[in-house]
Amino acid sequence: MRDGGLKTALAGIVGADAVVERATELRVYECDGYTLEKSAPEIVVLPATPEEVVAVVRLLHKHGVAFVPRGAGTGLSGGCLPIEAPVMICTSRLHRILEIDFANRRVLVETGVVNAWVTKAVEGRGLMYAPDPSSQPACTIGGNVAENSGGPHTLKYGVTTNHVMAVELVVPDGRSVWFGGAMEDVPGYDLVGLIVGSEGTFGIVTRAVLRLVRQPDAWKTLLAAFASVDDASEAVSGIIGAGIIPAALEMMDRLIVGAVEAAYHFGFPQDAGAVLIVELDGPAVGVDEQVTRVKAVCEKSGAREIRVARDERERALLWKSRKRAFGAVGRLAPNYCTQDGVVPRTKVPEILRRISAAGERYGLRIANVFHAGDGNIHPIILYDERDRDEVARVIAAGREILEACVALGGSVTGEHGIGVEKMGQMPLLFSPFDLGVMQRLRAVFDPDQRCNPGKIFPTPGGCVEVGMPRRQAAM
Amino acid sequence: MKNVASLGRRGNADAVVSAERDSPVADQFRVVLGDAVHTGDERWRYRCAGQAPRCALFPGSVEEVSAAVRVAAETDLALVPCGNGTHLDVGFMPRRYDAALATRRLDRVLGHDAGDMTATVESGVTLARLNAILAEQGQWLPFDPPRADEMTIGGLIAADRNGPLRLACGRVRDRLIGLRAVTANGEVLRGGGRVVKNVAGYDVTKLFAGSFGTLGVIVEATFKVAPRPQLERLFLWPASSIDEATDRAAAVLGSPAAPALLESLNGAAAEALAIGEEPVLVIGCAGSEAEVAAAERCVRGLEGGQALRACTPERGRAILRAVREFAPANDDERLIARVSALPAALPALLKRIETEAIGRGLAVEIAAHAGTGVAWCVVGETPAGLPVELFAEWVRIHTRELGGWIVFEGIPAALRDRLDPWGFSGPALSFMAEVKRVLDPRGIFSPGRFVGGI
Repeated sequence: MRDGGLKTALAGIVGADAVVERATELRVYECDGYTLEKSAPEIVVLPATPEEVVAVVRLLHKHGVAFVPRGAGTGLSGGCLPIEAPVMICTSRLHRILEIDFANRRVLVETGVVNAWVTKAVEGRGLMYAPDPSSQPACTIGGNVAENSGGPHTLKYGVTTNHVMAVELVVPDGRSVWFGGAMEDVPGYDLVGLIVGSEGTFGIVTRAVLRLVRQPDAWKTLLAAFASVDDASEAVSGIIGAGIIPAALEMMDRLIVGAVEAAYHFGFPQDAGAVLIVELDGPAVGVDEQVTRVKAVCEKSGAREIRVARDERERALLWKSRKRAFGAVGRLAPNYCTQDGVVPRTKVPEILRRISAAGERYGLRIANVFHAGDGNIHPIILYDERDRDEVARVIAAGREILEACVALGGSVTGEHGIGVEKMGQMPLLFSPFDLGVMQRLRAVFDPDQRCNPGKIFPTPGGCVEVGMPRRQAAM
Repeated sequence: MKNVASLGRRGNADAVVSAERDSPVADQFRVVLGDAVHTGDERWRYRCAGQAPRCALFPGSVEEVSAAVRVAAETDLALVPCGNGTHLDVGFMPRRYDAALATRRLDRVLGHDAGDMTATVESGVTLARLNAILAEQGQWLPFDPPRADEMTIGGLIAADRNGPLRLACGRVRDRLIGLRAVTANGEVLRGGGRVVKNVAGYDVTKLFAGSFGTLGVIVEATFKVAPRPQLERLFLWPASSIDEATDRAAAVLGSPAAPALLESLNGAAAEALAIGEEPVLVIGCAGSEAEVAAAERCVRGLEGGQALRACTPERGRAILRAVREFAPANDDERLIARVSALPAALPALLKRIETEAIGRGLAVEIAAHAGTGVAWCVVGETPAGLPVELFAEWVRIHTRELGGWIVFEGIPAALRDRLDPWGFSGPALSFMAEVKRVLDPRGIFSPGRFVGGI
């Protein structure tokens, strides 16, 4: 690799202007949204077609060089951090929407296509691509496939794996293979289901067939303010218990509401202990009925105020406030660290109590903004990185919160992935045998661990010691 | 398996002869399972693609499953994992088949919290029993395969079976969030968990959905469950042909009606299910009274929608039951084909299949999960033989030309060794074979039964 010959050969495939090798330019690629660890690749290639990806991967195979795939770099667990992989293959120039099949509600895309572009391309015909991670204006379909991304609306619509029908995977020996199909019920093992969420450790997905869904005919978005997170949690249980599945069911606590209001001026009640954002969608008549029922549940749980977004503008502002909540956190502290844990929905009050207790014990402020309907928590621990003692307490508290999630029957990640961040926590969930099977499954696609090495699986030495929590994250 | 009486006779005759011959195999398992090893008639119930095992095993715990698998691994015996055997006839005949490993005694519901909308069960629980339990809390696992009263949760997963509700509620893979399975070395593999959102590690649960007992013994599963709708109503929309009925499904899907199910039937299927004699689109709507009424208005507003007929609740339930039971597997007299195509290509494909069958003097019943592109075609009561075989081959070629797939889930006994049930090939196959080797390196689970003889 280190010889100039490979660089020349790569440039021969993708063009000299699609090879990045200057140190200052490479710094762009040294991390994703997980900024705690940084490591710049030696060279970045930006192929423009799936065929170029194949040629690049074949060349690397010939030279036995490891590589890491990268989309937009919005990941939150260091999934595209180059570790022992000198070459980074960036999919950002694979940005064509190749075919939109309105009749069958399918779309064929290259995987550098940005998530939000897909819905934008089809919304005029009443369709949408349902998974909507908060980074959707930037994140790519390839990254979504790698991480099995979620988003606020997955409560009703499911996550990425429920919407990907087929993928074209370039495995590290350079073979390009389609898995799945545009039709349902393809015979054989569901390898698409295995590839989605494999965090780029099987190869590079260059094209994908996505399922489109009909846009709801109507929607109503409610904001309900409560005195406490317990009251809000009770309302969450009440809504689910009433047999209603909202399109989204999100909670924000007092700390985050204050920051969001200061940033976006939506008019959130400042004295509320917690607010819920409830979105209901579907046929118009059903939505109106559900609004009435949700209001009744919230009132019964002690809601102080319930507001229904008057129009699309107000709804959009409400969602902007929610999806950019993390951007507002900068107002609260110089640095913050976001966790991504999951508990069974009914354990949300319990985990919030434990988070609060951990905050008190370690002397830390923790804000909460999360997918309450899915039990997917995102505690944001505030700190100042110049205070080394505080940094150590942040790490301890974060670990304790994730362990509590597992103890309550949950998981250490609902949508951000393991990456490098949570390799040490995998044994909390999986036995050595489970992990061994996963590694052997990886070897089916990447026997030499040349694609995205050093991720997901704990190293034999034990936990990766994290020296500092990440500074920023979007979600 | 229509001819149960004749099978019983075969079983009896054979049992006398084989009891002694089979005893070494059975004895191996008796060491760990004691009385839970059967060598008599019962093993005929566990025929896999026409072949009966030497014995049937009924372990009563996960530990016993592991112990039995270890015996098989150590003595190089082949197992076919199963529940109540509702889909055992699907696939190639296993290359070796020493024992059926039936999970029906693993029948505990391990957890259901209505507030979590998840349920964790052992794999031998039947779908009907689970749904009876969930119904107490106003919830259900919204799958409606045939023979739900016999079909175990393990079987549901392994056969990836569903029914008309798949349109609105998805497939097994969409609701399965966690699983435990005993793999070939007797160890328990865990995939996923008990929470609805979880991206820790590879999603190995997906591998087991539709794996037909070739990767291990599923012993436990966790599903996302759903609230039961307040009201379900059925409507019939008569049509002049199967393609018109299927086309209308697309019109309904393009409207705001949001149906729970759309089943288009050709005349022969409508007649077989005692719905009528003409092709028809069966529309199921679910929700509140106002929602169902709005959906009905919406369909009536479509072109030709004035002909829509509402069923009484009683008749609706009867029709739904009949539609659900349309194409049960384990039929060794009829050809049962699952066809999948792009939804928009389905109407013309089904019309061609029907025309072609009639031209060949065959009667074909067709029921399509119209919105999904998946249809079941049943070639019935004709003497199995050359015409059916040629027709089956024609359907496969024609469907593949459209990029679709066709799986024969029921094959007349006379054609069993002449038709490939899966018809699957392509570059992905070698990766599947490798996946099989990871979980079952020596091929002790249903060897040769799956796609490409995996």
